[in-house]
Amino acid sequence: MSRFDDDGAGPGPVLQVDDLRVWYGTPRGPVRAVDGLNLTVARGESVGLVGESGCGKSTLGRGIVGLLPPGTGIDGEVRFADRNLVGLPPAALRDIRGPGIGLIFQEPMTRLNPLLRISDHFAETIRAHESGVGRKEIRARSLEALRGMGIPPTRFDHYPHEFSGGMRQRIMIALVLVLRPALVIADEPTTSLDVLVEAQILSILADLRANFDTGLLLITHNLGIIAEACDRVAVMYAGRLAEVGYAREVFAEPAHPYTQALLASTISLRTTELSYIPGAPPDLADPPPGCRFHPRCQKAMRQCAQHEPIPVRTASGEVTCWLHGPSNGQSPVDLEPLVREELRSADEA
Amino acid sequence: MTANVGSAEVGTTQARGGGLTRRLIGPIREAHGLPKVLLWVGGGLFAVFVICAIFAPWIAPYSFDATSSGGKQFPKYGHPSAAHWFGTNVTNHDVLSIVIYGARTALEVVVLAVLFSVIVGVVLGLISGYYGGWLDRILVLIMDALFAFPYLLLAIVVAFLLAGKVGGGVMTAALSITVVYVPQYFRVVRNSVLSAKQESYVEAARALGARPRTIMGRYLFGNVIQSVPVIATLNAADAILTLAGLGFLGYGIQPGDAAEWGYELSRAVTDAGAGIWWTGLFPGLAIVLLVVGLTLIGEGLNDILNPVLRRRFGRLVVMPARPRSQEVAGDVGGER
Amino acid sequence: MPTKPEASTQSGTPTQRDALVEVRDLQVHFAIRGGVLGRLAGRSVGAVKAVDGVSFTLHRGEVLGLVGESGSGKTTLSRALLGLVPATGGSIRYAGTEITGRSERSLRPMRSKMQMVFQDPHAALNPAMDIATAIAHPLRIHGAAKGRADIDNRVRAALERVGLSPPEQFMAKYPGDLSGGQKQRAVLARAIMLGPELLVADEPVSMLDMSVRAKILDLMIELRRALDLTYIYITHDLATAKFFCDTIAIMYLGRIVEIGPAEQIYAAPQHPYTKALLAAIPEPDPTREVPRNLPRGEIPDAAVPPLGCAFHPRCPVAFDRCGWESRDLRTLLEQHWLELPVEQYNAERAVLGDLDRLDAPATEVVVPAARGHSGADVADLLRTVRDAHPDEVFWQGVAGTEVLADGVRVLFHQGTDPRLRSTNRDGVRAACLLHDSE
Repeated sequence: MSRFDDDGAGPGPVLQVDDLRVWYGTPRGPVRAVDGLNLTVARGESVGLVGESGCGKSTLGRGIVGLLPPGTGIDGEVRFADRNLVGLPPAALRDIRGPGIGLIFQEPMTRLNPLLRISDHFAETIRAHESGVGRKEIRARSLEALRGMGIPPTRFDHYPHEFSGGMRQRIMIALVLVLRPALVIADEPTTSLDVLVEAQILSILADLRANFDTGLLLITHNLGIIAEACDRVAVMYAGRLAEVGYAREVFAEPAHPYTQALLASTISLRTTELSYIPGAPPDLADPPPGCRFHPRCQKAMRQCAQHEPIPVRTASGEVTCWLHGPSNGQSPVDLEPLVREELRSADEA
Repeated sequence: MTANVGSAEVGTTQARGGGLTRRLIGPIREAHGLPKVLLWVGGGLFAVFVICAIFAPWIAPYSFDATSSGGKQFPKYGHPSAAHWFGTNVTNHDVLSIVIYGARTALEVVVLAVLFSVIVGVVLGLISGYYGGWLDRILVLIMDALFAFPYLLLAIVVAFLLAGKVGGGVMTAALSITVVYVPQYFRVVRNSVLSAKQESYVEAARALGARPRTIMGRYLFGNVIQSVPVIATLNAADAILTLAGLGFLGYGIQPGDAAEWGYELSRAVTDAGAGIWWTGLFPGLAIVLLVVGLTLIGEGLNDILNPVLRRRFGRLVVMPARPRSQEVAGDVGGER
Repeated sequence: MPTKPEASTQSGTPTQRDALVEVRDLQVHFAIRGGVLGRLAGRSVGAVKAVDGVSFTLHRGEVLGLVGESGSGKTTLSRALLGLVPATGGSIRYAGTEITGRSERSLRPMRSKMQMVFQDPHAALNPAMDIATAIAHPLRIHGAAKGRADIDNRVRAALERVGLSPPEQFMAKYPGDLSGGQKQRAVLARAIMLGPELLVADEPVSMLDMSVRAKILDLMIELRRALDLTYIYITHDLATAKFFCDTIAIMYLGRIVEIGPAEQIYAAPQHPYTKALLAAIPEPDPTREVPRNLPRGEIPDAAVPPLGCAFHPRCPVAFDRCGWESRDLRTLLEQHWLELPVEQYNAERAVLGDLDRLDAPATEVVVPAARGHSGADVADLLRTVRDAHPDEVFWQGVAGTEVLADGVRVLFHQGTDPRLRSTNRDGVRAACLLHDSE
């Protein structure tokens, strides 16, 4: 077990994000990519983070491990292994990335050094984080990790170009898992892969939590992937969480109008009519007041345009929408439907 | 696509794309820090020489080939004085006037040379990169051969071949320098074309039925010449030295045609031993300052325009304290 | 909200109308140049059969979905249909006119009739050209407009048609200023500018967000109705294809393995590959289990395709005639070792010699013994593997073994290359030996 793993003991969260803000500086003013977000990932749990492009989901993933461009503002709390990662010096964060939190990215092609054999990649990765590991142990552990990903041991000394895209992504995952991190953050790990290979990788990720007791934060725009591989789902919109809960429940009965619209707009084999969300996600340099979804929301009320909604507990999680209360202090006028001008079809993402 | 919206991109979405001028001028206007200083200092130095070149007859006290003024003969090796600020040289010419008129010669030659080599290099690069095949192979071979030649030797050979065939000395010098710099533009443009022609918009243009000439002119040209301004300014600096080198060796512009710094330097070499420092110092200084000015502009442009070097550091974000309402909201909701 | 369009909105169902594109036995092969020396000499060492004998007929008003994974040849096929990639064999007739073998110059006048929509709308627009100029460019190229005012009016009309309204708001913008959906609308506007009959759409929505995909698909359906367009819709996404297409052609390694009416194929896929593809689509339904019996591996290298049926190494229902060969034996050995502890793998691997000898496709191969081991040792190992995986379909392909002094000779049944044949489903043809009546 890794040194980031054994200190907590017990089923507490492996990652706890508390009121995190990540703002980018631009000539137009700060862009609030992540703006007050709470999220937990329990030990051995897989959480899917879903949202459209530009909602800040990738920023959240990078913000957690401190991979942000210089000048970016970050505050709040990212609690991992009894430490707040926000504000840690870069060297300390580097030590955590790998053995503590593993990262899987979209492009497996560009992340393996073409001049190094797969065995060299493993040796380098393990030696970079653990001292005094012998060659035999490195080989045994590497083969074990590769076996979990379905890469035969005969290919251990091959070069990256001798593998297909799907195999390279599996090697990348093996390189992450060989350090036995307590948490893996995977940012669109299957986006550039084919349907069948994607399904193979998803079933590997689904096995991950059972076999390794590893927490998984899976960032994607594809609700189907979350349904296949995740216990819980967090729906992100314009830098904030709209809804979080057990995947089964959220998919069966989405509470937030955005989740409902997103599910309806997903084209699957059972789709018989097209549905979409009118309008476009807001400019995060100048987000709308009140609920950030209210300009596109079919169920918006007057108060939605004025007051920020408050997270409310649901059967399996939380939803941040005025439709679900709390209902103290509003006048009946606040609950009237919001009147606004028609949205044009071209104002889209 | 979604995943590609990496953190760094968020801040720059506004600045992507746009017309050619917008893409060149925009970043220059936005420049700050060291690149901006480089641009301003280089631009200032360069401007002085441009003014000298354009207004030489009004600025210079005498003509570059005058040996007398108002019936009064200039002294030979005259010390810098009120009448001759930079002194006079062995042929009784006023050094200040030569330096000022020299700016005119240098800029004429360099502007022509850069213009010719940009035109030839860019056009050949576009054609070679777009068509590929044997044409490309032959052009690459020729350009590599030119590139492998010592540049001064190449310029001398061309100057020698052209001598007396294309009129004035300025044109001969410009053409011999052109040959030296064509391969650089060719290479840069050809390589950019090779990658740009893989883009879907080029295929889209083919699918629309655009002719190769249209594709090269309207679709490739605008997307492959971003690095040309940088190379052009840096080459201009280099070309000043090549011109001076030609003049120094006696293959440049003939003394009677125009004032030329390199030629002046070559004559001043013997003077220096005799303690006559002004005939060499001032033309030499002019060369150094103009080259430095152009180099600074080039480096400044490079920092600003080169996508690899251009790192748009996100401006430092000052986050406001958390809004009060949120804390209250938390209490009301009783959640956290 | 729009529902799936009925095919019969135009005069008659598409398949009753006349043929617009007829493709017969189309081949697009790319020569591979060998190493440095071969490249210098300009010699080619083989060919990638990107498209290898494809035939289909596309009727006016029809939407044909070309579905396949990357490497299936669907993109090359679409480029060949537009004459952007030269065909190396076969024929493509567009409205009766042969396209193959013609120069790009002579195809230019036909371009106004067939247009293309690209996967990445951002890359499909010249970043240095504003939207109005880009959309008007087809008119200028073909000299199809009378003067500035005419161009301006037609650009406005096209922008309105694709939902970019008011047009003034978009005309002076550059691609970098638009969102993904807006760019794809601009690409569609450019494509319809010359009044095309055929639109080849290469993954037009796969780079877009979920909430936008439906809008663009909706627009394409709307354009089809309004302009009587015929579409070739290239995609890896069976879900959008199901919604949009009348006919589906499933491609694998340069060939069509199944083709037929969409509703038939989705109701009862005939080819094992189609079945696998349909099972693998991630559905937004967490009550569904992750499919476990997925085909292993990935699309093979088209330069050295598998013998027999190209899908047989991944096929769960393959049998003896599917084209088993030496490389499949290596795959099986590696699969076997994957499940063993490292020490046992090391022990078994030490028995065998150079495994690369299995890499050349052959129906007869000698599995070499390592130095110090005999053919009998190899035979023992193969028996162990067989006992460990008795149900593996591979063994059906083995015709016999012969123990030699320094290895074991393995003989395979001769494979048969399946051709597209009618199935018992109406109008569906599949290239699978299971449907070969013998």
